[in-house]
Amino acid sequence: MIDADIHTLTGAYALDAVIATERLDVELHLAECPTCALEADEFAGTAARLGTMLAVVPPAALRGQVLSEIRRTRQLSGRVVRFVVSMKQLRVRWVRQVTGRR
Amino acid sequence: MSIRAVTPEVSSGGGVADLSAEQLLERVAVGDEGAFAALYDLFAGRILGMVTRVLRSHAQSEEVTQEVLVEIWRKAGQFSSQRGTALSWALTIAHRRAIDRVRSEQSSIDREERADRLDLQRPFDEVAEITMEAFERDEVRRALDALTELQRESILLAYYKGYTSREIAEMLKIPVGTVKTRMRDGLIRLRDALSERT
Repeated sequence: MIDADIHTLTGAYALDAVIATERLDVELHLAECPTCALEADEFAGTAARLGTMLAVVPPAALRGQVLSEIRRTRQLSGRVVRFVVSMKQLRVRWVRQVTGRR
Repeated sequence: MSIRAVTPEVSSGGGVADLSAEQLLERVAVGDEGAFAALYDLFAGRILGMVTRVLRSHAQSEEVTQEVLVEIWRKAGQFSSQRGTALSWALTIAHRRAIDRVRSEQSSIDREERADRLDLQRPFDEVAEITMEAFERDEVRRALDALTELQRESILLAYYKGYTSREIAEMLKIPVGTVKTRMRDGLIRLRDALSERT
């Protein structure tokens, strides 16, 4: 059940003002619409500017905690292509279409 | 796992000091812990500042910031410099995590009570220890000032407070479709205003 105005959702998506099901709809759309995908990437950069100007000095202890945590954390391997749609996501979408629930 | 075993020598000899955040992230993607430490120094303050702004709890913000940084370590291989800067990629991850936390922990009623619209007029004064140059803040502030009130309010309520477009529509008593288009229009104007100088 894709919003007829899905193109206008790039802004809300970049601001994380979408609910989970909308986020999925947008990501499915971005995977097939290069124009919106480019806009979404640009908006991500713009939204980030709203965040970067709030920089603070982190507590000194945080650095050590994070660095020791990553030493215990395995990295995901390989690059992924843009917006890989998992089987789970497709199933969620299918169930929503069948049941008519959002 | 085998990738990580070879990296300490590479990183210590590589001299991470002069590398850009994008180059550091590329090294982090192959398990370079030295590059990650350098990336931490570049990003941690910005991530913590933004997350604190959204969550308003220092203890929680540090916890979420730690999760974000570990996620950056895990997913470094997914970063693509063609799609944007490393900082933008990192802050996107951070914002989503902060928002998820805010939504899972607070009922919408609670957040509605806190939605003090007056508060929006001074969204930047709360952070005491700002390290970012005033120039950067002023530039963003000016760009925000140039938006219409509805564009600015929609964007700030979403980005800093974690409201969905539907919640914002209810609060401002306007159709949700209008909120969505105002967000997009406002971001287009912000994007254009901010890219002129960089």
